[in-house]
Parts: sequence; structure tokens; C-alpha cells
Amino acid sequence: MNEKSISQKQLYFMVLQSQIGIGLLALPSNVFGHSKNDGWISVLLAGISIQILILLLWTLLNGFKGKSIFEISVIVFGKYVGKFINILYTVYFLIVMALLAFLFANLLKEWILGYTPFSILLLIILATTIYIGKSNLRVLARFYMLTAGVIIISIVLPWFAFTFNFEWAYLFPIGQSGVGNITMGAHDAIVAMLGFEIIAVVLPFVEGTYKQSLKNVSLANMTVTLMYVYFTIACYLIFSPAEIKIISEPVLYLLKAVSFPWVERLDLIFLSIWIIPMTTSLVTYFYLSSKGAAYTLHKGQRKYTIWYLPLFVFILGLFFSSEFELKQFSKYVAISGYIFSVFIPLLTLLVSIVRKKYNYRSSSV
Amino acid sequence: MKKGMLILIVLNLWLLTGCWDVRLLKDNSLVVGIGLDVEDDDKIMQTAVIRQIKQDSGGTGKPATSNVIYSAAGNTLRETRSYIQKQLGGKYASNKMQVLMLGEELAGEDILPIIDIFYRDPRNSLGAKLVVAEGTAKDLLNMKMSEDVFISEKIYKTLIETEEQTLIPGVTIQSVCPDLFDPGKDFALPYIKAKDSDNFDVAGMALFHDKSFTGTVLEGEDATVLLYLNGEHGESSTLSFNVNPEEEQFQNQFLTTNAFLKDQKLKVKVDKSHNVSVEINVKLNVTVVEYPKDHLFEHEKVLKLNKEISKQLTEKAEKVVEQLQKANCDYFGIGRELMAYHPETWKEIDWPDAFPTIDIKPKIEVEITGTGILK
Repeated sequence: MNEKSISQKQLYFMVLQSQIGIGLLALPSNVFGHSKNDGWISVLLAGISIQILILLLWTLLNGFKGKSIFEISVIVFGKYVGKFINILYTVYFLIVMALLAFLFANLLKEWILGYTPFSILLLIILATTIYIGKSNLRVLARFYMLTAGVIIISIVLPWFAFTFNFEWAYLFPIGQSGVGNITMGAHDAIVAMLGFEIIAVVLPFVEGTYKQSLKNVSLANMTVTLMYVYFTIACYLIFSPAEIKIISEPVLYLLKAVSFPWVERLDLIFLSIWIIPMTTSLVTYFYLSSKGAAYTLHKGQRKYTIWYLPLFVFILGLFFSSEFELKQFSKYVAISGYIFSVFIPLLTLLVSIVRKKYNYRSSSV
Repeated sequence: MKKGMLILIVLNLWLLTGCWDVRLLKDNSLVVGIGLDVEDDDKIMQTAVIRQIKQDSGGTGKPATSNVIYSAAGNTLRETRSYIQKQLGGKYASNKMQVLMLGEELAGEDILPIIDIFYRDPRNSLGAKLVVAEGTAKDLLNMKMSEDVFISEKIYKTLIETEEQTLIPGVTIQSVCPDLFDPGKDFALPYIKAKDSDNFDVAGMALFHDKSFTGTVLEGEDATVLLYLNGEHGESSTLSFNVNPEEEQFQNQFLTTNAFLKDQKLKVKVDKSHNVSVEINVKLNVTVVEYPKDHLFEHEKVLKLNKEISKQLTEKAEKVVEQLQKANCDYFGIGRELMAYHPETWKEIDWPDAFPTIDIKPKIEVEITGTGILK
């Protein structure tokens, strides 16, 4: 175990920065599809669901102190099945990484760099990801913590948009869309809040007890949920219901409309700030997938994986030619998200209890 | 070594991307104002006011600018844009647009399909003022210059001035968008009239129902009253009242005030059989700026004046509301209130039919709070 450890505070920022990202920009209109103007309740519900998933994952990890998810699956399922599950995990992390990179490049193309080819944008994004993501965990944690300040700026910026057309009536009546729809909306929101899976790999390297870690991870999740609720309500107060349905990135759009004598196009400023949280979630999944590939194929060495995984993403990216294909792709990823953050951890937990492996302690700890 | 290579590659990439997405100012023709009209065969006529910098300004002081006006007709707005592009020396760039003017006839149709493009393209300026022109926008913009100032600039400045005087609502392309899509709220746009060949006048508010101009325009004080009833206000407004009709000299009959909005409340009530009634209470503070009769040191006199002008304003407000209901323009967003707080009623009634018949009671209370440096 040559990876250096990180502190509790760094853990908080790692989870925070992994969870927030590109999902926020489209969140209010995505959630609106099902839960109408109760979207913010859906987001809240999604935050609670994520908390439950965190508890599930933590319970599993707590039973195997000092082991990451890759090691746990080998212990629980044996060498062959365990390895197979690890490969599945790696593929999942890689697919999420690809999705994030595609969405990121697509967003830049749509909003700023209209004439630049998609592949070039993807190349730049992946190059940055490699540059940051090839460092070890401690460097990553420091970077995540250092750049967390931009999130505060991004929270303040929408205040400028509140100077016009501020309509509380849009939020009422609360609960108009019914429980079923709000739950469906929560499903749309969960996708934007994934990223907590990082604990499955980094938790063994955190200083302090597992209980402290749980507290910080939950705190990070709470911060993300509140932030998302804040942005969702902000958008719902400014755009009328029929309008928000057709705006694909309401968070940017509300800033685009504001102009001052000294600055115009606040959306571009916001976007250039938001590039950091978008990159960090991308780096997180890059780290996870390269870690997984390294564990199953290269005896834990990330030396090679950091090169061929992004290359694979890049080549995959060349096949996507339209927004609709991208939407379809993100639907599949969302479904597999449930498999890998609910089904497999639950299965592993149950099997480990049945096979009496829970509370496993290897001699090396 | 390896690290150095990577940095070099990344830096080179940054340099490369610039080539695609640079838009040089010298290649662009900045469109500062756009006018849209309907042609006889339902085509759209676009009139673009384009600012051009004269080449021969000779390096002394500011470069001389001039406005050039191009028009072209086409099936869609993008088509007219490409026709105009053909006549231009540079690229058509509407990202610095200040005014979007709709001709009266065009505004009478559903305006959403026409202005859709301004919402869709990320480079468009959503802060541009949206106005309705009497007659056609083309004629108005073809003034080119009004008293030595370029037309679009003058319109823009006049609009901001009149907003401050609470004569028109502060409407931009973006601020109108929520109302455009909202079945429970309507909006109004500033209405501009051409006075003679090189002068125009911001006349008042053009009332819209749903997505089209109703043909009703509230002018002068009527518009101010409507804005106050809706809780909107600029810096102040000038209201004058005929308080002494028996005076011989005409000017002596009047009291002129600067008014400030103090408080506005809109209450929507619904009874069991889904009858909607609305009460609007507005409180204004005014300072007297002109009152030749000079008897304001007596407190009783002031109280009497308060009562008199409150009565007059309330009567005016009732007339404004009447006009509003006749035009079926739900400017107060009463429908939205119903949707939010009385959803059953909203489901029960057909709002465009019901709005003209509901009971709206406006009440304006005025208090004289200052008299200037004379009593």
C-alpha cells in the first residue's frame, strides 16, 4: 500500500467535488419533466436516497476495514467471480467518465466554442483530466480542497439574476404533481448527484475512524443537496413553468439574461468557474476507473491505465454525433448507476454475511 | 522530461483552439437595433440598424461612426438575416443589440415564433429592449437620425429615461419570456409613435393578451397608474390633478406632484361558486412640486387635498382596470395567483373568458409628504 493517506477535511471536499458537477446545469429542467414545480422536493428526496446509499456502502466497507471495494469483492466472491465484478466496476466507472467528458465537451460547444470540433474539445478535456488524475490520492485531495472556493462564487453569482421577475407563486401549490411524480423526479436528480462512490475506493486511506468518515461524507452529501435545492428553487422562481421545460441549461440561462454596464454574459463567467467542479467529477471517475483497471490487470500499478483508458474514451467519443445519442447514452448510464451503487453493494453485503466474511480483518492491517 | 512534454502539448492545444472560435470585431457588423414587420404575403421584413466605423476618421480622437440601415424580407428571421448578410461588408453580429422593435401588425400575431431565435442562440443579447412601434418598425427606424443622435441609441436612452419616470415597464427580451409562456399572466410592452419625419415619442404601454398585441394602448398617466397598481415603479413619476376647477386662471386649477410608490397589495378572493374578486390597495407618497395657490401650511388643507387626489386617482385606476379587462390583459398575474393558491378554481374556470368579468377593486391612497422649499 504505497498510497498516501488523506485527512478527514480532505475527504469532505473530495466527496463534495465529486458529487457536484455538470449535472447541476441541467438539473432544474430535467427534474421538471416529472415533478413540475415540486422539483426541489425531488432534489431533496434524491439527497435523502443518496444518504441511504452512502450508509449501505459504508456498512459494507466498515465490515472490511482497510479494504477497498476491489479487494472486498475478491474476498467475498473468491478470485474469479471477484475479479469479474471488479472488471464490471471498472467498466462502469469508465463509462461514467466517458459520459461526463462527452457532456462537458458538448456543453462547451453549445455555449462558447461553436466552431471548434467536438473531438478537439474532448482531447483538451481528457488531457487536463490526465494531467490532474495521474497524481496520487493526496495530491488530488489537496487540489479538490484548494479549488472548493470557486463553489462559493458560483452560489453568489445567481443573486444578480434575482433582480428581475421573481415570482414566488410559481412554487405553489406545493405538492401539486403528486407523490409518484415527485419520486420519478428524484430519479432524474440522483443521476446528477452520483459521485459518492469515490468512498468505495478512498475510505481505507482516510485518517481517523470509519465513524468520523461517515460523518464527513454525510455532511458533504448534505451540502450538495442543499446547494442543488437552492439552484433549483432559484430557477423555478425566475422561469415560468412552460419556459423551463424548453430550456436545457436553466442555471446558465438565468445568468445569460443579466447584464450590467460593466459586465455582460455572466453565464460565460459562471461557466468558466464551473469548469473546475465539472473537471473534478471527471477526474474522480478517471481515478476510480484507472484504479480498478490497475488492480485487476496490473497488480495495482496505475502507470499504464492512465494512458489507455482516456484513449478509449476519446475513441468512443468519435462515434457520438448528436445530442440525442448522448441523451440515450446517459439514460443507460443512469440505469447502470443503480446496479453498481445499490444492487452489487447490497449483494456483496448479503453474501459476505452469509459466508461469514463480514468484519473481515486481514493480517496486514 | 515527460512532464515538460505534457505541458507543451497542453499549451499547444490551447493555441490551436483559438483558430476556430475567434470572432474579430473588424470582421463583424454590429447590429444595434432590429425592426420586424409583416409583409403582405406573410413574410417577415427585417430592418437592421448596423453601426459602422468610418475608415477615414484619421486617427484624431474618437473614430467616427455611422448607422446604416438594411432591410430584407424572407420566410423566417434567419433567412432575412442571411439576405442582409449578403448586402453587408462584414458578418452580421446581433450580440450587441439594444432594441428589438416589433411593427404593430406583427405584434398583433403570435409573437413567440418570431422572436424564438433570440432565445435559442446563446450569443444573442437577451437584455435588449422589446418595444412595439406604431405603424411599421421599418418606417420608424428609417429615421436614421433624430436630432443628430442615431435612432437606435436615442430609442434606447429614451426608454431608460421613461422607465425611470414610471411611464413604461422595464421590459427586455428575457424579462418578457416567463410571461410569454405563462397562461396566468400577461404583459405589456412600451409603445413608440413617430411624431414627424425625425422625431418619435414613447407613448405608453401596449397591452398584450397571451402572446399577441390587443390593440389597446395605455398612454401617459394611465400607464403610470397601471404600473403602480402592479407594484412596479421607477425612480418617481409626475402626476398632476385638477383640484380647483373653479379657479379662473387655468394653471391655478392644478396641483403637480412627484409620486413614489410606498406600498402595494393585491388580494385575490374566491368564494364557493368560484367567483373571483380582487382587491388592489396602493399607497403613494407624493411631494408637491407645483401648486400656485400656496396654502399648504394649514394641516387641514393638506388632509383635504390628500382625500381629493386619492379619490381622483382611484377613479382613474378604475378606468384603467376597465380598459385592461376589455383588452383581456391579465397584467397583474391574477391567473397565476389562482393557479398557485386556488388550484380548484383554476381548473374550474376558463380564464380568458372569465378575466373580463371578474370584480377588480383598485384603491389608491395618496399622502402628501413634502411641499418642496415653499409651503
